[in-house]
Amino acid sequence: MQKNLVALVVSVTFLLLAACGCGAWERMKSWAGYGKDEDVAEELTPPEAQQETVMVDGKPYVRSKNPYWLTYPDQPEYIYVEKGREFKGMQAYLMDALAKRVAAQQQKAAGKAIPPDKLQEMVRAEVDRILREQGLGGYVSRTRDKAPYSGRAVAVIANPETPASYQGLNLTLATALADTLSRTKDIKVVPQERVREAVAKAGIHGKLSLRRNIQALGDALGVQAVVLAGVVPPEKGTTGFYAAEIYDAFLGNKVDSVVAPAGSDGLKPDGAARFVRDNGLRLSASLMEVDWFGRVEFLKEGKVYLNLGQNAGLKVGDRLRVVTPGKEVVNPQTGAVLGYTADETVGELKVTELLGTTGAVATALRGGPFKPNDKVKAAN
Amino acid sequence: MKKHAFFAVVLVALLAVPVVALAQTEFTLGGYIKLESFWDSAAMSKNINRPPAVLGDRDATHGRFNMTAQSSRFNFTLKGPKLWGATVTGFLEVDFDEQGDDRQSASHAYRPRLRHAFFRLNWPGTELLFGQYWSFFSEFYPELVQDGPFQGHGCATHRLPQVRVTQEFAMGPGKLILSGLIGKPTDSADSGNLNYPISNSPLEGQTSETPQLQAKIQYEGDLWGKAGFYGRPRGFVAQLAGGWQRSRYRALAPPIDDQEYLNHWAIQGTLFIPVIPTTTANLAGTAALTLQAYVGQGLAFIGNETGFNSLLHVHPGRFDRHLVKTWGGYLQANYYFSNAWWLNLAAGLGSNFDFDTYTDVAVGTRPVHHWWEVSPTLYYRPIAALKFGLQYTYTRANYYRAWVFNPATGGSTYFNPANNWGDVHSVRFGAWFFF
Repeated sequence: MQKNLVALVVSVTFLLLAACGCGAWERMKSWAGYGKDEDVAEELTPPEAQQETVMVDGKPYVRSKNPYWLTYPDQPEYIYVEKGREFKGMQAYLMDALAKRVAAQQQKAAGKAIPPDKLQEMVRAEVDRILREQGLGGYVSRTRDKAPYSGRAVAVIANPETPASYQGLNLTLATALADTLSRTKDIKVVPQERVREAVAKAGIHGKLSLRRNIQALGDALGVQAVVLAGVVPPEKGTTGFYAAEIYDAFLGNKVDSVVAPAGSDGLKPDGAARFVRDNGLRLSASLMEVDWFGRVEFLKEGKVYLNLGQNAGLKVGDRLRVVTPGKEVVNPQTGAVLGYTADETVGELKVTELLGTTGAVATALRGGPFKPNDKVKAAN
Repeated sequence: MKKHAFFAVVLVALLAVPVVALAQTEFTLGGYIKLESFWDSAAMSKNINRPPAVLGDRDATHGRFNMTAQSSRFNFTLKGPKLWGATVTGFLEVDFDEQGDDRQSASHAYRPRLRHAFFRLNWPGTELLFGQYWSFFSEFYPELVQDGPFQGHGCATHRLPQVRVTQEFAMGPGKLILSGLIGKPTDSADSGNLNYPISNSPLEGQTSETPQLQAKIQYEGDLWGKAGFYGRPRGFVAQLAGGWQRSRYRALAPPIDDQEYLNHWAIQGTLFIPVIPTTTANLAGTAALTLQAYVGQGLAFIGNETGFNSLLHVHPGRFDRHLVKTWGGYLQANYYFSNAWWLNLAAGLGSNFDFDTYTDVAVGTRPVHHWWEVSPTLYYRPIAALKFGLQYTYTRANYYRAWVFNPATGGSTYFNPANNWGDVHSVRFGAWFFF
């Protein structure tokens, strides 16, 4: 009798489990009128209550916890009330109080710390002080006065006026300079092969350091500055000099130069390397002082394609002025150069697309037609 | 062999149990702080759940002013984990409505009371609830300042430990809800309870050997719009609820019949009708009617007796206990001037019937015949967390002119006096802060 009972229980259990597996339970539920899958998550709030804000009769209503939920029967968990009247429960008060407390403590801690931009200023000022003490003053970046774009494209050229016997050393000096400058952030150095090709094609007449030649070379290479590396042979008791001159390709004039005597053992490759090592920082700083400008590369289908040299900050939507460089003012009697007139703005562009770090596409807002090698500067 | 087979059965059964899925649990604290302030023209309980004293009675000769925060309550809710495809929600609520000694001037000895303590499993359309929660007879409270409004004269106040099953079915634009519960039987403080007086007994007057059973069927749907119900829009609702319980009453003393089993029962119908409806969350300009009506006997089992729960029927040479038959209900109308201001008008009534003043004797208390109350209330709720209410109440009870049997004094009886009615005017102010 007992055996029969056990067998019956086992059989019934097995049958029940088998029925579940065959979907009998699902069919029964479906017949009963609610055929939802058990795996479907129950909606604790109706779909419309999951929306945070709704407009009712022209006023915003927000989803709010119902303070009567569960404490009275048949009350929904969420209701909609006019914005500004919604229920904020004890939980929210606790979290707000906690957040306030944490924020107050963070503010206290932040008050003792130096803000990052202030810290940067302090470091810059300290570096400048140290450099000045070492006789290398004037390196502090005055980027606030310059364009907001810190990228510079530079060409380093071995000065062809160096005597032929020192051209090899000159080339070594130029290569070392190019190498050092290329490792500086935001400075892009044009490869030496391109420089040689450009020098050959640019139609240089006379000394390379003449304004028109520097400008032509700058246009050919798409750079903001040209660095002429040169070696001065020893004479009259000197051991010779290493020199680097920085020219602004916009106006074509020299903005800085560094000259250092060779060592007691004369002009040597080691000496050139040492010169670059000692003066690379200063030259980088001077290059960043050169005013940024770009060039119109070509025009196509109403769009202006720009060569930026090296982009470090230009964004889509930025505005640029198309300018004609100012003219040199010379004292007609003495021939002394007094300075340059202001750049003349002939148009305005708006950047619509960036092409990597060296180019951009813009549309003309006013002015035109523009031509290749027209200069663009940041609109203030 | 028998044991092996049994374990095999258990193992097979356990294989069908899926793994418990632990889901993210949500924990919420809540409740409200409530201040009640009231002036009554005669002695009256805080919740107006005692019939007014008869005129001429010393309790009817002077009024009183009182303030209390004892109805403040604190609760917490737990949502999660998931089990068998259901979301588990737990809720625990405590108030301080048990009064110890209010005469202390520094602090007031209100004792914590457990209001609700339950957890439920919710599947799509199905709910299983375990614990202490409202009964089906207390799901449509009129919105008045006092707690447990119209108790004994229009609306039951009843919470009970229970196991409840609820099933929803989609029906047209609304839903049909079927629900049933097995709960703790509620035994009144009748002198006929098995271990009377209750305060001396560890069994606390437990005279039922069977549970209380309740069932309801409810339809709720947005048929023609919604109107305000406790500050939120609600569509049409029709509910029918019923309950039963069997209690055992002992003979008080000869010649009362020995050990009687009496059946308490009640049937209640409720309608919530949007009269000026809205289709949005904006309740301004909406109006609604709530009607509730019930009939039954021995309504102490759902906390709704109108004055008294049982009577003694006189037979030649003996008494026979019966449960008091009662009918009653309430009508409530509300109108929302705006989402922040609304007016509530409520009237409740409880009436005992089938009481023969010649052959029936009330037990231990003056027998109430009718007891009714009218309460208009103006509410202001500037934000969801704050609510204020100002209410005027008039309540009156008429008593049967009949004999009262008083077992506490050795069975002597007295006749209810000529002034067989009493009334109370009351002005009440309530302030709630929900958190």
